[in-house]
Amino acid sequence: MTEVNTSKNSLRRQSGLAHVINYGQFGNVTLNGPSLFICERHPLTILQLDTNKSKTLTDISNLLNAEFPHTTNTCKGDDERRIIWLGPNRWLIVEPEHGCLQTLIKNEFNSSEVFLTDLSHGKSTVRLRGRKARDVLMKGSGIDWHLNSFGADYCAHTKLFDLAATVDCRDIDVFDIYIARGFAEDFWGTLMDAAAEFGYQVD
Amino acid sequence: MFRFQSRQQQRLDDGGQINRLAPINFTFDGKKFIGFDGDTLASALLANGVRLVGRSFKYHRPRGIYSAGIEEPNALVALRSGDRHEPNTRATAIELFPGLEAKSQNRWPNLLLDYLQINNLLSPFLSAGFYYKTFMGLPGWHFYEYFIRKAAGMGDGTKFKDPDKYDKKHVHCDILIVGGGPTGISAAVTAGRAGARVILVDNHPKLGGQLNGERYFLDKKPAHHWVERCVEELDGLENVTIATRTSAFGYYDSDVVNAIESVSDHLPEPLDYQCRQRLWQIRAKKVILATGATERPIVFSNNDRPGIMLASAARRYVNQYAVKPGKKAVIFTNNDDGYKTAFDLARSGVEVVAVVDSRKNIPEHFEKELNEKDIEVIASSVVIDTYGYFGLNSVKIGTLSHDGKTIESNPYIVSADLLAVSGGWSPNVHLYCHSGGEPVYNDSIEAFVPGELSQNGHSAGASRGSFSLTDCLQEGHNIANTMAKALNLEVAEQIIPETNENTIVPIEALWRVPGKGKKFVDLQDDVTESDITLAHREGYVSVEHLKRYTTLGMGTDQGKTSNLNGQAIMAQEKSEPIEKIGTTTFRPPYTPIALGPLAGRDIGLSYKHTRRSAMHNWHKQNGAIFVEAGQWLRPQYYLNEMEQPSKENMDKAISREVQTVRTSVGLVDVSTLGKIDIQGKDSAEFLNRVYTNGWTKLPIGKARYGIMLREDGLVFDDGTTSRLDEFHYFMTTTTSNAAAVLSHMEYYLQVQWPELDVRVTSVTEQWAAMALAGPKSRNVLSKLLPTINVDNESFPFMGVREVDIEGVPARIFRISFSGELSYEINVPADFGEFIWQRILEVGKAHSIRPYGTEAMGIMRIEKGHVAGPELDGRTTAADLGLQKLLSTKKDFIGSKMMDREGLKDKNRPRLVGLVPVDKKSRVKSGAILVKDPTLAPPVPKLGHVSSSAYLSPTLGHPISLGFVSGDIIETTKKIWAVSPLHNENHELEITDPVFYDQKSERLHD
Amino acid sequence: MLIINCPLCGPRDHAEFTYVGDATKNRPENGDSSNDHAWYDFVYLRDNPKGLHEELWQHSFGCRCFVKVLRNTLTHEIIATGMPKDNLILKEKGLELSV
Repeated sequence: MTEVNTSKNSLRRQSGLAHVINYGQFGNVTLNGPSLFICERHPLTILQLDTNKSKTLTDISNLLNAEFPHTTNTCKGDDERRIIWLGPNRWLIVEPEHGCLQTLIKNEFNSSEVFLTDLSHGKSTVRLRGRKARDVLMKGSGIDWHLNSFGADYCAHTKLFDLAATVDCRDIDVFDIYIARGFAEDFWGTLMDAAAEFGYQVD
Repeated sequence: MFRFQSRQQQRLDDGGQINRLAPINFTFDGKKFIGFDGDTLASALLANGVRLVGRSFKYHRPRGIYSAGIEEPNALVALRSGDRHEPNTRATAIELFPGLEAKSQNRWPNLLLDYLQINNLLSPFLSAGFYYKTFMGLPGWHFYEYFIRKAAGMGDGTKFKDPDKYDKKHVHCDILIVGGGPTGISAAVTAGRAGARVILVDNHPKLGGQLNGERYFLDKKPAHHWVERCVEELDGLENVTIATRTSAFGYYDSDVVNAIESVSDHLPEPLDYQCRQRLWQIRAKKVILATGATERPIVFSNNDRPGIMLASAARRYVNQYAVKPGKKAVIFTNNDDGYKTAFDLARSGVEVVAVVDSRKNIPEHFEKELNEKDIEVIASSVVIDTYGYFGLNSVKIGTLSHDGKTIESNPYIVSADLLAVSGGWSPNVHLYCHSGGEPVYNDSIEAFVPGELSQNGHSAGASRGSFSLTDCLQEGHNIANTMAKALNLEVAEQIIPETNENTIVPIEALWRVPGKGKKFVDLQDDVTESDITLAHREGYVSVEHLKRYTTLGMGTDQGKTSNLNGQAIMAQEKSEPIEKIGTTTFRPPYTPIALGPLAGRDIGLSYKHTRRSAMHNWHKQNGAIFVEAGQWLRPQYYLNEMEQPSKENMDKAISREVQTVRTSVGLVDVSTLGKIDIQGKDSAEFLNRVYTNGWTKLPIGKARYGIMLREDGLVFDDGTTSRLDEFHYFMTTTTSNAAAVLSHMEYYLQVQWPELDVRVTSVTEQWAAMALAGPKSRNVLSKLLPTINVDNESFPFMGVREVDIEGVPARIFRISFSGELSYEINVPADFGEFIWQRILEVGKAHSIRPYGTEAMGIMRIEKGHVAGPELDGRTTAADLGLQKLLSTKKDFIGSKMMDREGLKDKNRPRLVGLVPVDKKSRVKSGAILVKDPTLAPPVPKLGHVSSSAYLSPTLGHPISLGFVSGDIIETTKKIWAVSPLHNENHELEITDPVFYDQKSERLHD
Repeated sequence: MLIINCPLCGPRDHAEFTYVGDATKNRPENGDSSNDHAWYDFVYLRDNPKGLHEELWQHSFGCRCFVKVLRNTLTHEIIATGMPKDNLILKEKGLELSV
């Protein structure tokens, strides 16, 4: 498939949240400032990688110079690139849109060994940060968000505010939330409503 | 300055847990009063000498405040006004707040002069089942019902929209403790020290439970010192959460306990951004039920007058609220509890006329204090009757015979304005019962207690029948340690404080006092002793029947003070022990809850999340009228700038759109179609198994239409699948079945055929999809793709191309739903709006027009294409005319069952076209097809109308698709569509289902 | 509310799962007419046992895996969970099967 020519299209790529985001401080912001910071992460390259060949995975790992998480519900990586466990033999690679990640892997590996699906446009990504971030997540999902159960580099695929979501704990109080693009506007509205009592800033 | 009506004449000068420096004004039935911070509405009313607060449910008898907690059956009031008006709130559970407005209920025109008090005089006729027995047989129940329901009543609701927000919260813990009384606090301290994640919930504004209403000493200091010390320690523990004003109302499977936190109910209105209430869904590993016990009354004549209340409530009013609930008190008891009330009332300056104890022997250890306070005890005696219409003024006392069935000596009357009654305590086993447990009867306390353990919720303290304070404290500590051990935590130390309580002398059951008169068992539902004996005489043998016949325990209080008395009376009537009678099933909620917090923010548009395509904003700004398709919002049609939404303009717009596509070119958003990415070397084999037709020979760059069956041989879904690469396919499904098809395929790959090397992933959201359709679509496409040859040979029907449109990667499928030459263009969603706009710009030369789902639907009916209404789970491939797609060379899902006799019957209804004979009538989809609408029922059904186009702009008249039995198609040309609901009958002509371009020349062009 | 222990994701609310059906039915080979009854059984016949029952759920909001669940239909207690190929009843052999 044709790879996106980034430089040419970066102006035209329009996020699913383009029409709903208002920047500024909202809700119950006290003198101490907002307890939450919310922003959209866009544009990203989001690539699903599927392989049951451990040798292939090792080779990809070497090619990308990145480690794949093998424990269920965990992530690996840094601010640049995240690799999220999705299910058995399945991972999500997320990085800021710049290179041709898909081509890079495709050129090196046989299409019967590793299966790639581009989901960059199919997901909207929201970053939730701040000391009340866990309290917001607690409103929307029944999983245990306590630090001892869901610390940094944990991830969960769960029902968040009644939507299928992937939550990646980047740091103690930083969470990346992936949601289907079509629901992004609705999700954003719900998130703002749930965050209002804590006071939040949209960056 | 206005003058308040009262000076809180019943308030004590000191003591209590109220803040006399914080007066709070409030109104009751429009009269102004003042209370203090720390009061409930009930305590503030009592402080102001208000005794009459409501009228009873059925007989409209004057009623007062009966309890001091959530069990209150009488003092139901309407709270607040306007859009925050809330009926049937319990005055005993409402924290006083500034400006509180409350009104009495179930009286007209006012509390003193209530016309329906005539029901009280008619009461000999108004026994259990009266209304049904009397009126149901007569004609016109619908007429009477309105007046009967109005007469028997609770408060009125409000019709305004609730202005407040409600929230939800999901929490987890190791140990959940329900109830912040002595047992709960003791358990929390131990569990907290052991390091467990603890949540302690209590429905009061502060912890302490029963301790707040008593004059207990712990380690020789008033009990609140101990409570405060414990709370301070618990507050300091990071692993402990205390949730006050939080009422656990249900214990569900998997040890999930739901509770409602009253976030701002105690305030005049919520603060900015604050919710009114919040639902806590608590997932606990272990649960300690320290829910305490509820005192119950004794059943005697006229036991419902204002001024009669539970003994523990009278105590709580003097102790916690520093309010004298009366001036002259009589105590009526069958257990030790009445004595505590007598002492506490006397200490607070209430004249205690007598303690009437139905037991023969007075506990010796009370004698000293009885003498000191000069309180007379009348043993072996009972209260026979009471007097005073709007409030108690005197009490009739008599001696009980040895067998308890008659009154022995001459009864006498004493004057009193307060009668405090204790019939013993019933453990609050409700949550235990919710968890699946069955309570058992305990003779020594004459009440039901938890039986065998169900799930992981252990009862402790009074809720399991341990009424001594020392036992409560000890049990809380012990159970917490047992749980800590089970959770692999270190057990913790706690020194249990010394108490000043007396040994408890056992209760001697007395359920009812002999004699005539109205003896209320259930005060809220006006169920009397005679209703229960009547039920027994009429043959109601089970407590569940008794409950439904008499309405015992069916009020908002769920019979907290009445259930056991009713069951005991039934047992006596049947001469059986109570344990044989059993108890009714307790179900959530424990206390009445509002629906708001259950809904949370899932209201309005958030009730079901809305899904929008990448072009949604463009549609919105360009006149689209949206329609819901599952969760998606799709443009139904587009109005021109000057057009107002109306039926005529809608018809105009739809015709315009169809004609544009048929004659020139149109563009429709089809992003909602399910899209599934299929990869792996066994993909072709897998498609062979899920689709009915063959897939092995599909070349790269080609698409194919296919149908899927379910295992039972009926059609499941249809769509096209394209081969993008050797091991890479791209499937589309119908919008409504997108999720179901993905799950269906995952099921076979994971469960049935794990050996197949195939991966499936939903890419519905990754691609924005639009169909460019119409005879001029190729012209538009060639302008978009100047470097690519798109003529019929290079890009034939069912061809697939991966191209670049102005730098945007795109997949183009030459497939058609409309019957015209058509290209489905998929681009990554973030480019959707850009490409959509580019196509419209490029198409301007051909007067391109966007079209919506209506035009799309009409064109597919014209073309006889099946869609959702035809794929309704009841049709076979042959019914749809798709039998050619059933391969005989391979097995596929459904191939085994599709050949069953009934599915191959020639006379099965099959797809036909239908045209109204008058060429005008709009036939509703869903209409039933019959031979003759004038026949008397039962009329044989010959088929039904599945899809209707009210106007086919192409043909100039309405058309429909439907199903007609095979034998009818052979023999008849005309049939009637009837829609009895709409009272419509239309004669239809049966035609070929393909109305337009039968040879499909246009799409191959 | 039921909490189902997904073998991969851990304990999750049942709302994250979709109920699929009876897990004790095996899909027969297509075959000739000799196995008609086996097909009839697989497609239509379902027991409604009181007590232990093996069910199939899909963790549709999570890892999307199909999960076998051994549940007591009388108490709603979930005794064990596993992958589709696991025989949970055998695994829990110590258990009283005649609940």
